[in-house]
Amino acid sequence: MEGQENMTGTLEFYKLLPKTNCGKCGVPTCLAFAMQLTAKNINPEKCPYLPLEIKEKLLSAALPAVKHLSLGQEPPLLLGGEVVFYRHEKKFNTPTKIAIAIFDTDPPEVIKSKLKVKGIERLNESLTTDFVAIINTTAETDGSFLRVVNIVVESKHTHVLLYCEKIPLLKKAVATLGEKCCIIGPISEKNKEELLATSSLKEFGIILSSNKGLAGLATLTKECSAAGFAKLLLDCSATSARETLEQQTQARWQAVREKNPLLGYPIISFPYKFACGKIACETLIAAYMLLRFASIIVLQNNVLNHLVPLLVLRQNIFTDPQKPIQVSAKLYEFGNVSPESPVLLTTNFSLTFFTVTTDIDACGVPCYLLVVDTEGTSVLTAYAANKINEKTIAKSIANARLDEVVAHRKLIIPGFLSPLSAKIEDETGWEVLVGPMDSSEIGAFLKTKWRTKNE
Amino acid sequence: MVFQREITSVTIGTGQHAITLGGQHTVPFLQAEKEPYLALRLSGANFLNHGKGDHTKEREQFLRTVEQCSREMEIAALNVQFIDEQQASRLLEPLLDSCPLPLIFTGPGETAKNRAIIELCSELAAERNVVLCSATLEDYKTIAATALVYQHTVVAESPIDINIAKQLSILLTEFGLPFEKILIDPLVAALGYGLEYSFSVMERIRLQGLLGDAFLALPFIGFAFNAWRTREATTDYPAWGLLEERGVLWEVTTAAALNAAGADLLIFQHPKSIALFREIWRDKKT
Repeated sequence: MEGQENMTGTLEFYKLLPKTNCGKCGVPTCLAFAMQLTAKNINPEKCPYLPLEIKEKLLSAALPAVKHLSLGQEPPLLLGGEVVFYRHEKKFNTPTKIAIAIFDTDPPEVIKSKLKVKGIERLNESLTTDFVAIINTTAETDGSFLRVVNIVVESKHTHVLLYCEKIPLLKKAVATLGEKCCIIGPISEKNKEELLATSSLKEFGIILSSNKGLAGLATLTKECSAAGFAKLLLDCSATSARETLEQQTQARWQAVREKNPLLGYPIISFPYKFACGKIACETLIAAYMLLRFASIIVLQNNVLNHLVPLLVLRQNIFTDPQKPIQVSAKLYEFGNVSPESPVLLTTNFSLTFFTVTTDIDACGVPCYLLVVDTEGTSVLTAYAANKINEKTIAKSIANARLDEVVAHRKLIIPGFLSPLSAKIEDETGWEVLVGPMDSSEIGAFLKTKWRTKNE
Repeated sequence: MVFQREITSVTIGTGQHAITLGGQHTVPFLQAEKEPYLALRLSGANFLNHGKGDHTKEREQFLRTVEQCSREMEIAALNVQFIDEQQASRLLEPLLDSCPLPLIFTGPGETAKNRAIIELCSELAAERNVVLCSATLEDYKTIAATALVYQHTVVAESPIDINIAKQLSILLTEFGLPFEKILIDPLVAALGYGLEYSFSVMERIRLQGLLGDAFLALPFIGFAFNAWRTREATTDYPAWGLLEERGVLWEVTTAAALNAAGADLLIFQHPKSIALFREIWRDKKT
């Protein structure tokens, strides 16, 4: 049925094309061009024969269902631009941004620690939080909000969100913050008239919130965009985490699946509103928000232990599902290896690699892992597609100069490759030991079967 | 959005403690999402490390733990892993008497031993409608036959592959198991170790089920505790903070993804993970 849905779209587009297969668009046939249009992989302008009216129709249909926003100074904060509900349909475009919330009641040392950008390195990517938000909770006359804004101006942060529903105070803060300001709000039924009456705030991202749910948000987006405020964000916060998640899911569903342009804006989430002040609750709710379409997550806490799962979740969800991720094909070391340590072999599909390395780590035996380039496919797939064979293995052994690294000549291969044993021995001159099918048994295998000398 | 098919309702356990999984008629979290059932995994292996000898004390301690967990944590089901045939039978009889909750039985992982233990436990737990783990494409007949004889429910495990998931459902139903006796385990890869593959395959299975494919319109069982096999949950990185806390966060984040993709039974290893889930599902706003 997924396929059928795409097929219907393709046929709709195909009807509009000249059906001459002239190839001027760069695609061999009109049907192929229609398929590319459905997948939103090609610009309708490329076809010289489409009537203007239809081209415009296609161009508007080709716009992402969730508007793409580019906010603040260079390099801008990018949000949205999503075209699908499911990540298996097409890669999610723009990873969720994580902001740390500084409250205008936070003491100076807390502000200082919240201004620190925290994160980790993983899979050769630097995973960090992205920007800061300043949250107003004090009275207009208090002066705390502007005081905090002044501290943040002095920090290294280049993008700042201002959260204050009092428009006059917000305007003062915007002026103080200067070019660092990129998002403002919240704008609701209560204060929208004040915003619409101003002409100076149109360049900023505007957070919209409504106590009338998605219908209220849709009304707000309609009014704001009519008044020239185009960079809108939806705050779907309801009375509980569960309801908020439902609103977010509905908003994305309606934008993408039901083509409702009034809800086609990036979503901003505030998990702390439902966390009862508990940091672990905030983290778990934030994970749900990220999984249910939040483009921005504003966190109250800036604690590395709690950020790491969210940063890794973001990295996972925003990878391209069409492309198997690969790790680099080379020799890896685990533990305190020596020339007597065993050599195991696997493929460069990252999921395979991580499963195997986790099991090697867990077994505690120092060993080498030779990773063969199989274009990011698992052992079974690579074997079936002949991407792993005696030749590719021999090449990997040579590239890693394995004969100089270890004193023995024994190679432990995945159980699924046992049919290749003899061929590998002939090609490489190494003795092959057939390891377990499942890497979880590596520990037991090494403990019972591994000997460097023939005994 | 109206879909063609509802996810099959699968009831596990018996009597007042029985729980019913499935029944969803739309995409997860699109409307009126129901709270997931939370279950605890207690490994008999932790208490009964050795196959031989008298383990009366360990057994008593295990049963006390079960009793305490069922009472204090409001868990919906209990997942027990048996590693030894002899101990399994001696542990199971008092367990069945003392724990009224739906039970999920897991073997030690080795195929032959698994089969023997699951068969033995199935017989002892006859008519309790327990969940048996797991039928695979290579080895489903014994477990399916056992489930049929003793009227238990079967977990159908497929290696993150929608086609194999479907094929296995077809084989199990052809073998005689009704849809109401099958749960899908799409194979849970933990956060950071391929979670996105599990997440997406679950989303695809659920969507196909809702669109009308009866073989895929089955509830998921979510083995969130697989997160404890990762190094992030087990290795101390002093700069990151407390290790135990990170393990729990790794487990709940993995579980959130399973739930967001449609799993309504989540199985945890750490009591704190269960407490945390309970807390966020209480409809509260500060």
